[in-house]
Amino acid sequence: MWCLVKSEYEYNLKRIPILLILFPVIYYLKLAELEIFFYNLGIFYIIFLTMMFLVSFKNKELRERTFNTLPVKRIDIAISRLITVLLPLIYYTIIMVLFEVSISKFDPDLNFVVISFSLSVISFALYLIMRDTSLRLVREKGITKNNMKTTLVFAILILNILAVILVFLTKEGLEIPLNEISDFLKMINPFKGEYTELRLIITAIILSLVSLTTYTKGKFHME
Amino acid sequence: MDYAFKIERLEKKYSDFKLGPLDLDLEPGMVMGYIGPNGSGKTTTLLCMMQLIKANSGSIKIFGTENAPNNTSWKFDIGYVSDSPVFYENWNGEKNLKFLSQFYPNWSDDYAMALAKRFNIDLTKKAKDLSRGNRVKLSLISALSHKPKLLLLDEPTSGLDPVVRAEVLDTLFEVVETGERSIFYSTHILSDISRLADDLAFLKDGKLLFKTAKDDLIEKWRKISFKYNGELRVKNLVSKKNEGNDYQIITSDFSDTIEKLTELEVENLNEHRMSIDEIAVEVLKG
Repeated sequence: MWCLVKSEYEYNLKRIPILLILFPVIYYLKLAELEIFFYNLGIFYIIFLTMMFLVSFKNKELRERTFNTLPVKRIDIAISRLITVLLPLIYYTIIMVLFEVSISKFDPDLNFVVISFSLSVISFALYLIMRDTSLRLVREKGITKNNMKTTLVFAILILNILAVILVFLTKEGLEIPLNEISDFLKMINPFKGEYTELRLIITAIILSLVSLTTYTKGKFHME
Repeated sequence: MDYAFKIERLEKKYSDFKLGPLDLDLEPGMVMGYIGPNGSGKTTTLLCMMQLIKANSGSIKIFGTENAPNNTSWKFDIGYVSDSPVFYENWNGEKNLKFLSQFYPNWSDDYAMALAKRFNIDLTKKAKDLSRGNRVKLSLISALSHKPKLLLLDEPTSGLDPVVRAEVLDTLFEVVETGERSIFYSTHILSDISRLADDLAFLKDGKLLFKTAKDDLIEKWRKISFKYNGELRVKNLVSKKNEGNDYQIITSDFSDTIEKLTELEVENLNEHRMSIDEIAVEVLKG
């Protein structure tokens, strides 16, 4: 199992240092709430996480075919893919905690750190579960250099459609009601309440365990 | 005796295709050619054996051990070459082999290098820059370097030029000569397997037509031409053509047919041995 994790990191050795160095810069921009042309540079934080997401799974799907022919248990392959994404997330969380504690000494926003970590784990786990339960064609294609543009276009399209729906639900005018959208999302948010962070962490753990099950018990690699 | 593999009542269903029920086995040290046209179920069989797809029913044992997904001891005995080998594409051949070596206690770097030299493959080239032929060679090196007892080869020479094909087959022949390894070789190219195989199994539309020793097949199948005045009624005829009294038949039981034709006192009797390719065409056509 650790051989698989080690190999994945060795294989991405050129990209990983860039991500590791870039992350503290990105997080600082978010904390500093700098704006350029009226846009909060913290948006780069979201873009960064999205890119990490795409990079993590680029072309990995085909290599899993090789993993499945090796004398390695399916549960070990499932754990190794989870560990592969958790390790950088843990690094990011440590960086975030250090930033929060050192910059906001008397009021560090550790809630945001927990929420960020949990949402990242949930996103990865959902992606793995979706892959395991979907058709082989979708799983084998995955996210590749060729279809990344198409994937991004679809993602932006879906987000725009959702935004339009939210605009109609919250206001009749043509201005984008960001505050109303934010309030609406908070209203329908299943994690809202006193124990948001705890609920998110528990959800992240449950979905991670589910991703182990969907891999070991679900469709086999070439199904 | 533990068979190299034993498949019992294997079934795999898709919406438009069904494999099986399939019963097939291979004795240790033997080579079996698994022959069938495209879409007959050869790759499906191999994928079930490697647990890359899950059979609907039946069992598969590799040297007596059930090929369960969470008991992987049986995979140490197997070297698998798929029809589309996959590697870490940005790593060179050497690095890919080094990655694989971590999983097999019996891996031999010396043997891997010797095979690479034999195949004349540049291991410093990235996998993505290798030609199809070299990818197959690298896949074969990967499959052979841990000295498996059973090789599962899924059309490894498909799409290769004749020179590369000959190199691959020569190496497999050397492997086979030692008698230590069993090979299960799926192909629709008969000339590949005719030299190597001890047994042949014919598959069509997901059904096993029959399995036989290669030498028996060559011995029993013949093309016979003769003259006969009358209606011909002979068993074991695969095909029969006649223009007037001139008959041309193909039989799957030469000795029985010749006996019958002798009784009928046919004239101008001529018999010819058939090649494996010719026999396979008749088997799969029928």
